[in-house]
Amino acid sequence: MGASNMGKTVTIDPITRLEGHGKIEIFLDDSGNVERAYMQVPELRGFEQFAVGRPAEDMPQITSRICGVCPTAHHMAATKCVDHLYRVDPPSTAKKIRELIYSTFFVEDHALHFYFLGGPDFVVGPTASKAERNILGVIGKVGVEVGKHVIAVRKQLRELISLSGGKVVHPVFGLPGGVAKPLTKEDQKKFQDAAKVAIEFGLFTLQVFRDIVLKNSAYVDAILSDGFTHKTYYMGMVDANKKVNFYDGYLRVVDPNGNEFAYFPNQDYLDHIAEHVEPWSYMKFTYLKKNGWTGFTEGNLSGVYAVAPLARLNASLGMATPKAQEAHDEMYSTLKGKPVHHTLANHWARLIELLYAAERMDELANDDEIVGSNYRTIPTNIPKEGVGVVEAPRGTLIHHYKSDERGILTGASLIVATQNNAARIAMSVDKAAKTLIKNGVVNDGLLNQVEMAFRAYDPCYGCATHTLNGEIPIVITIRNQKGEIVQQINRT
Amino acid sequence: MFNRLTEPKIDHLRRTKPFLILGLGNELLADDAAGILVVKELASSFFFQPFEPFFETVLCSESGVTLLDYFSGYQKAIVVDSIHSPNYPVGESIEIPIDNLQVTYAPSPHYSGLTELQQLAKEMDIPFPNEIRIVAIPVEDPYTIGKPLSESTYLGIQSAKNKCLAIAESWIKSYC
Repeated sequence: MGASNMGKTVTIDPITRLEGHGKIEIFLDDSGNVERAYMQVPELRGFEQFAVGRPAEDMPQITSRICGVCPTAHHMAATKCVDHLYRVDPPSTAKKIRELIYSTFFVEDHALHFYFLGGPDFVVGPTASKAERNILGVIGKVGVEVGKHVIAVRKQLRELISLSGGKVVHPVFGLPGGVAKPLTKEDQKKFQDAAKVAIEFGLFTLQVFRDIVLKNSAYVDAILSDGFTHKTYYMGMVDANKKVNFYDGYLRVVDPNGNEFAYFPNQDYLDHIAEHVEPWSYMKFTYLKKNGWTGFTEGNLSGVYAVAPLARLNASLGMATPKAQEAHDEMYSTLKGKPVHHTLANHWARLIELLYAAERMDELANDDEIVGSNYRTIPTNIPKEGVGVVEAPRGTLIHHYKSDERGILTGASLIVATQNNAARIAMSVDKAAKTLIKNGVVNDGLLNQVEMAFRAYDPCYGCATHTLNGEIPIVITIRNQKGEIVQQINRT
Repeated sequence: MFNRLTEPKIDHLRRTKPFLILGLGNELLADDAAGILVVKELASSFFFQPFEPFFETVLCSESGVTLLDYFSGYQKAIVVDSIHSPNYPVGESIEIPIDNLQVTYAPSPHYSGLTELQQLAKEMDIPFPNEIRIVAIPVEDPYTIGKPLSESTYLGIQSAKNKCLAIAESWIKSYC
């Protein structure tokens, strides 16, 4: 395209390899350099309104239908929210069953991202042709046997979630005060076996990352490059020892230097987080209330923070399991200290979390209390208002419901993981575009690298998109300053 | 290191019936529920009872490479889904021959198409249906959360059910 792109708009729509639909618009100035890049979210909203008037206990089933990608996270946040709504504390056995299923989901979901969604960027390579940048390309790189193993591990874990959770896609096990059924000894054995497989798989996948990514200086340079770096705040859930926890704990925020900025119970989130609206996106951008909305800026004075794997590790004092802690130390040692601000390091952090989730599966599956018979406390309090928070694979997920005395919802508010990251994602896309598109030179490889910044966060905009024939219209639209289309490039 | 990994315990061939009817869609998104409703109605239909011993009826809101798990191990499969396109009239159903689908390399495994899944299964020696029939219901609105079905989609669902029954009958004749 070259110099013909002076003073034009480049649109990538939809962004490839992410869950849901998003759009990036890149405005070039008269010199053909990037003036501003915007990440737009054209998805329909309105789910919160849809929830009003429905029984609270239906929310774990309803919200899990927001999308087919992270249903277990919504199910779990909603279940915890109705616990709080009814002020009921589930028995220890129920909490452990929930966390076991949730850890299993994390292993499966993180594996999907590394090998299928974000992995092709690194495993196959950011400048590889579009015909190679997919799962078949990954298999070509790592070998058919490894590809078979990845699919088999995911299948085994999904079968376990189905076994215990009722369904893989829309689980039904979470009830206010506990879970719908206990775990049998036979189920426990299956989880124990699967955990062993998952730990080996996690260690193997970290080795794949070392061999393919860390041994390639071009990839390492990309991770460390200024175009993929932002010095922001980070938030994540931690346990009592301030180690990473996906299911329960306090939320902890650290500043760009790694100092603790906030540490609070989930239910107090409104004291610390607020939402900002921009006219060009349906997405509400969350920010730290104490610092206020300072625009898309970084540094100690900014209100922008990040969530998801790298943020979770940055916001914690480490991992609660031994092998994951070793992997955590290796990453921070290699990347020269904590916190790490390099967006693409999310891929590495995700694999450390995969290993942690596998080890946590192992711990819980070998805890005999998990097969206990006391798996539900029947709620007896009058419901009024509740907040439920979990760490989804893509970051902190908050459900907040209000109800009348019958438990019929009168209000619902959801802050989804990607929303917490939205400001930083917008900054990443803008910065990457400015770094990688120069003098009107816009080619497929460069645009893919802009998208790489986006995909590192594993964003999800919640929809059940599906096609029959694999043809997704990835269209790059170039418009002049009047908005007229002057060129379209079909990427399918 | 890979050679030392423990093999996961799964069984691609653990199917008790030879054929699959897979309804795709999202029940919360207006007409996008069409594929799911077709299979739900079929499963409880009097006219489907003779075929029930041979067909697994499955509802699914997933997409892409994950569908491999649903297809593996069946001899033949019918896929029922909504389609939003100006090229097809609403109120009816259509059958899209799988041979007409282009072999494309979808940019995302989340969007992997059937042909790509076929290729993936072949590459990795995973048992995959040797015949897949696609029944599609052209719809007006597959996007609005909480909106009921359009009247035209209801008509399309009835038409799609009849197409599925006809396919099922032809398969049973050749199977028995």
